[in-house]
Amino acid sequence: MLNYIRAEFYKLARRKGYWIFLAVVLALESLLVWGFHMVNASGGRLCFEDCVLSVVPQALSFGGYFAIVAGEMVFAGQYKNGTLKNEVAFGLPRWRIYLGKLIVQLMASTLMCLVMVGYYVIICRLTTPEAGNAPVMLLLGKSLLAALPVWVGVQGMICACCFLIRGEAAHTIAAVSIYWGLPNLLTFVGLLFYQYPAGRKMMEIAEWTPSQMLGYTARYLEEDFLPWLGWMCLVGGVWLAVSTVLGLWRFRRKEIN
Amino acid sequence: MEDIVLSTHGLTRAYGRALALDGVDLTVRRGEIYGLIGRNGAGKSTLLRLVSGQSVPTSGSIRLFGKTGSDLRRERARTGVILEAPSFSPFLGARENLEYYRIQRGIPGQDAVEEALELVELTDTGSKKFKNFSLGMKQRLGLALALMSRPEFLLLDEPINGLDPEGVAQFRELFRRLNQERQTTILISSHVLSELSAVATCYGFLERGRLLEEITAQELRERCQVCLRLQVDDAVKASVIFHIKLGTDAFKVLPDNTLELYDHLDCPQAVSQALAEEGVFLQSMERRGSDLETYFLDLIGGGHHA
Repeated sequence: MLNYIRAEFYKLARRKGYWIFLAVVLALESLLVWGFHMVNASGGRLCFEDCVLSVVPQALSFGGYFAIVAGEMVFAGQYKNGTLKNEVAFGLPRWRIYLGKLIVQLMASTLMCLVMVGYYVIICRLTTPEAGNAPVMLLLGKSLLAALPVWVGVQGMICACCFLIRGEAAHTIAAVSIYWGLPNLLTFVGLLFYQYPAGRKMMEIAEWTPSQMLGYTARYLEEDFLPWLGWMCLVGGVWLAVSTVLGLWRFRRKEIN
Repeated sequence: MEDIVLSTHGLTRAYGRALALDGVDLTVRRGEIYGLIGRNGAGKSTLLRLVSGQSVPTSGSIRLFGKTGSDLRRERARTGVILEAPSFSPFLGARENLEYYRIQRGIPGQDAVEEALELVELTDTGSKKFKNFSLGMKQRLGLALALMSRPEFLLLDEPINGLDPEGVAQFRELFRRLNQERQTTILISSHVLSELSAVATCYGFLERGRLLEEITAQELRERCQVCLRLQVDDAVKASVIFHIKLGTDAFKVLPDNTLELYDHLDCPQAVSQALAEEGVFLQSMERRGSDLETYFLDLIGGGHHA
């Protein structure tokens, strides 16, 4: 497994797209912070605390989209390029291929997240004054800690989409549809049939989907954090377990072209 | 050491109602260069895909290096495979692609990459990406990957596709060298029967998912040897005439008063005259003999090309 992970990182490090994506996100972060700086320069009073806590906890659900990008970068069009057959034909067990890719996807997206958040915090710290009493780093840490299990669950779903759906565009659309479309669909149908118990149940289920839960995390950073963290772990764990078991089971006998 | 490298028993693969392979019993022995011959859609690629684990049999079994069932997968590490078009990451060059697989497969030493590239004469690609390779270069890189782990058994599906005549000759020579120097057993499927007949030591003929026949190159040569096939009323007397009057022992007596004469091919009149003079009734005489292509076409019923 270690060789497999090393090889995947060897390939990922040579994917220009990965680095270009990271560079674009960092440039956008720089632009945002430059905007804060301009507000302060024209008499505004934005401090470090405002810049970090008004952005990071609110943007946790974006992490799911970054997970989709990282998943795509690691999977690297294996069906389109026909490279999975090289791995299977050498006798690598299919579970190793699947879990190896999942682990590298998780590591690559975590690395991406650390670089993005770390860079943002550093440039905010360098350009905005420190003020206020809020424990910024503690709240930031709590946000990321709560988001991590759900991101892992989302990554499991993306990995299953990559392995089970051949077309590159098709599995990206499927992943986005499940991550973003499913809660919205459930909410929409739930609203339509709100007068029935099933409609209300659908809206309740929508609340427990990853993108919705990530969106609510900012509300629980100061109160009821531990129970919320437990729920995040539970939801992330269920998504990871269900998608991985389903993915491994279907990939076990999948025809490789 | 196992004598049989690959054997399949009743190997069947169905796609819906269509049978791509139908109860194939195939045997490849150590040291052989096995030529797998069949038309498009005969089941050659399906067979290789099943052996290399890319597809799962509907029924039947595969035994590789004596192992079957759950042990089969591990034995695949002793094989090298080129299946259909060689496939690599398009954004990496030749060395980077091989290095990726070297790390993944745990092959020690970076020399393995250079050695494989040298074997297929693909050392001078520089930083050119795989997506910009010609078909011949892709084929060479595919073979380099197959050879990198020094396999005991090579499975090659149309390996000379896209190669120029010089490349074809180089590959042919390489297969012979690998077979003789490294004792690599090779299974090649190809449409180019003349190329196959230049290297293969035995053949399997596939048609509509069924293995029609397995024969050695020696047996094929004998069956394809040009001769006069005669049917007479007394084969024993005819053989004495061949020996005494025509002065030749180059003939074979077959059942049903049939003889195959490998001499006097240019003067069948002299043969029939000699038989007639001694009172042997000649019922029929025909000139027989063919090459691999004709043999294959005869076997499948003629009319179609491989």
